[in-house]
Amino acid sequence: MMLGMLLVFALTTNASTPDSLMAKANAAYDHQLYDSAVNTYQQILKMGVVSPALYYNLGNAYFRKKDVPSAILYYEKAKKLSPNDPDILYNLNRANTMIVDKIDKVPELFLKRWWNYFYNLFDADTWAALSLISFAMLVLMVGIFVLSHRRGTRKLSFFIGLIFVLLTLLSFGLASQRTYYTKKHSEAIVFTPAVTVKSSPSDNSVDLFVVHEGTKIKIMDEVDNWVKIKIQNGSIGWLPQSSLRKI
Amino acid sequence: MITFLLLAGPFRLIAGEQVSFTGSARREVKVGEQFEIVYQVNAKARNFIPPDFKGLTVLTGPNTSSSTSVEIINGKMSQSYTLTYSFIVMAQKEGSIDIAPAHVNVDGKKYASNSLHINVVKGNVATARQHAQRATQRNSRPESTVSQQNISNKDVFVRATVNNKKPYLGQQVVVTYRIYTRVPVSNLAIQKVSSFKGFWSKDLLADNASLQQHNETINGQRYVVATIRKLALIPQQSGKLSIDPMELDCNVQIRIQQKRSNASDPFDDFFNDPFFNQNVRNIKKKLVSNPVNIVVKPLPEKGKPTCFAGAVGNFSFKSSVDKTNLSTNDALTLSISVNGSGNIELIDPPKVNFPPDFETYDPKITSHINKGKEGVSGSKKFEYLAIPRNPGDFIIKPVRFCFFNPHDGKYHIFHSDTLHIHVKKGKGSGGIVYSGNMQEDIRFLGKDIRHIKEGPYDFKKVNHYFFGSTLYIALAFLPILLLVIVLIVWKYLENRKANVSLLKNRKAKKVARQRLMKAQKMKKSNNDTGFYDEIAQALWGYIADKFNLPSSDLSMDTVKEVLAQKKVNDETIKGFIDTLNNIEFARFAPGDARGKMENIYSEALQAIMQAEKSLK
Repeated sequence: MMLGMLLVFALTTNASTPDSLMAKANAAYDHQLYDSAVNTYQQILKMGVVSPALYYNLGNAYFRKKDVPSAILYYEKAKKLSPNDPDILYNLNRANTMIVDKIDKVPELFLKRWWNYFYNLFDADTWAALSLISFAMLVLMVGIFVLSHRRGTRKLSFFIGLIFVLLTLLSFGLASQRTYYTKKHSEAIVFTPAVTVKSSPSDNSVDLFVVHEGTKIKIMDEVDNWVKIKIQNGSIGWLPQSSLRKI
Repeated sequence: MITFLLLAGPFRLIAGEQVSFTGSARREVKVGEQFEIVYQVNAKARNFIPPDFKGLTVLTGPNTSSSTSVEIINGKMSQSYTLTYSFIVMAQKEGSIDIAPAHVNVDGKKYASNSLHINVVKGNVATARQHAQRATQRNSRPESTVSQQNISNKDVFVRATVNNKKPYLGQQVVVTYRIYTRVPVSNLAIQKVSSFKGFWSKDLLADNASLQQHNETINGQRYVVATIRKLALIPQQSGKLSIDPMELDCNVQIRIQQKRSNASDPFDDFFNDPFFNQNVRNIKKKLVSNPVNIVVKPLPEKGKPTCFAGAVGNFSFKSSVDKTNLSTNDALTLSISVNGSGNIELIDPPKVNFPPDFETYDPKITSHINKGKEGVSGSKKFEYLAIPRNPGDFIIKPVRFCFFNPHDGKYHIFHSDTLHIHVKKGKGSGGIVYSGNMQEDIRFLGKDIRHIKEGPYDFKKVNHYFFGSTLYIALAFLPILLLVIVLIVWKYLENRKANVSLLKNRKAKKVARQRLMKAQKMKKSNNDTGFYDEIAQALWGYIADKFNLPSSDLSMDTVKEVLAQKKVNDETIKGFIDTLNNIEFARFAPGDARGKMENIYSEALQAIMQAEKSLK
């Protein structure tokens, strides 16, 4: 796929490939020209391509420019694509220590934690590929089962087939979940330095609490220009759309 | 107490008038009662010699005053001049006292006054004591009702001055309070002092120093000036600051115009009593200094170094360390001293960056402060103690001290030298023993984000997800497709095989017959081996075709098995088997070849036909 894209771009633009731009931006970063690095990384994004490394590097560049909310935004985007990368996780952690709000995470249910462990093993595309492989193996087992005359072979193929049924279901489920999650923009970062969360989508409603820039929130609903948000300690309220940027 | 003498203006004796020098006092006084003795001369006099006031305590005196008065009677003007020397005295015991004449010089001639005789009668002991107490007080209570309007603000006032009205923030200024007076003043008492809001203040005058006085002429008037208070002020905030006025109370001696009345009025006499009718009075006066406004300039932002911590003034800086070679658990002392004038008392210890493995303590601060005319100056010494815990070579980075000099308006930075410290391992005993449970976690000196990633980048099209994409679905269907194809092919092949076997089955008898015929031919052409082969083949082949068995599966047992499966009767089976066996025998047994072949042939035919019949 990348090859195809490279060809397309080689034909249309003058040798400005994502890779070459990436090298250019990285060089700018190494020379501490962070504004230039940010611009070049953004150019790559404008080309319509994404990559965890791209988002991660962009996050670093914003961090160096002392723009912590933007850094967190791009680290989260990177994490969405590559959930287990230790560098992304470490830097996101560092950036989060520099924001104003300290939010206690509500501890998750054991089952949810288990599910999340698998969920975060691979990204959406990898799970999708795994589901295909598993499915193919399943079909193979079915074939063997149907066509074989030997009892031994049939028994073996039956049990292996069952295992693959489970694997297929699991990987299919995870792939669909992750794809849905990645496609959907259900999380966002606060960008206004300090904004009051209201109890309903209007300026006149009760002030509930204040959140500061860099805090990650979950989007529950959207009405007019207001967004219903939930923060990591479970509190719910409404914020104006303009104060957020979706991950 | 401030006192000075007012010199009387020069005056000449009116020509023709005779000099008169008289003394007067009350005839009768009580013990302990204060009363006045007054000597008057009607001309300018010198060298007043008072008499010996035996038996009397002189409380004050001689107090001099002079007055002139002009009388116009019937168009005739006459002036008179009186010079008065007065004493306030008190008798201690009863009895009669004789006071000798006083002497004075007028125009070179000596004159004597009259003598006085006073009777002292008993008074209340209490009152005597009270009087005595009052007499020993230096303060005489104001008993007059004379208004203070007699004293103007031009006679006595307090002025506050500041040596710099536009200092920088942190630059010390000196405020001086001076009293200016033309009249005798005593008993200065400060009632209210400015709170010096916005300043740090320090008194510059020592507590028991005597007040310095000098004379000054202002607008032609001579004043005595004394500094009553002097403070160093260091503004702690920028903008307009004001020093509130200081309020003092003091006693002022004033002259009162002597009442001259001809009529003898009992009240007049009372008021003209020598005790009350004195020319001087002590009255209380309130003095208020002028408020002072100061505009404090903020320190310039441009060029302000990061190490600046508020030191303003003119300073010098020295640093030293007592040793550079030591062992672990030994202590070294780094001394930093700052010397100069300015807000030295407010200077905080400069920051010293000891290497990470040094145990450090808060510095010991010693200061020597001088209070001078220009303000506060002196020195402040900071001693930092540090103990290295591990051996090695360490560097103590230069210590920076920055201050702002208001005279040149610039920031100055001092650096100490970089210090190289060599620490050798100390003796084991007596030192800290490191056992396993005293290990430290690696102490983070700083935390930073990790570096950027340098390829491979794994670019993907944005919003392009594998799951659910056309490729995905295609790939998902692929195995199913393959399976279906495989199944179809398989089935087809199976079918074909079945067909073949069906065909073979049907043709089994025919094929067998053909083989038998061939065998006959072989027999006719004396091909024994060929004959037996064909016969065997016919039989085995028949079974193979009929029952769709591969040749490798053919054996006697198999034949028995399959025939039994098909419920062929035992006899037929036996016949078949026997025939097969006979063929083998006949092959190798000697004897009548032809006859045997004939037998075999018919046996085989029989077997096949029987089988065929049974298998129908």
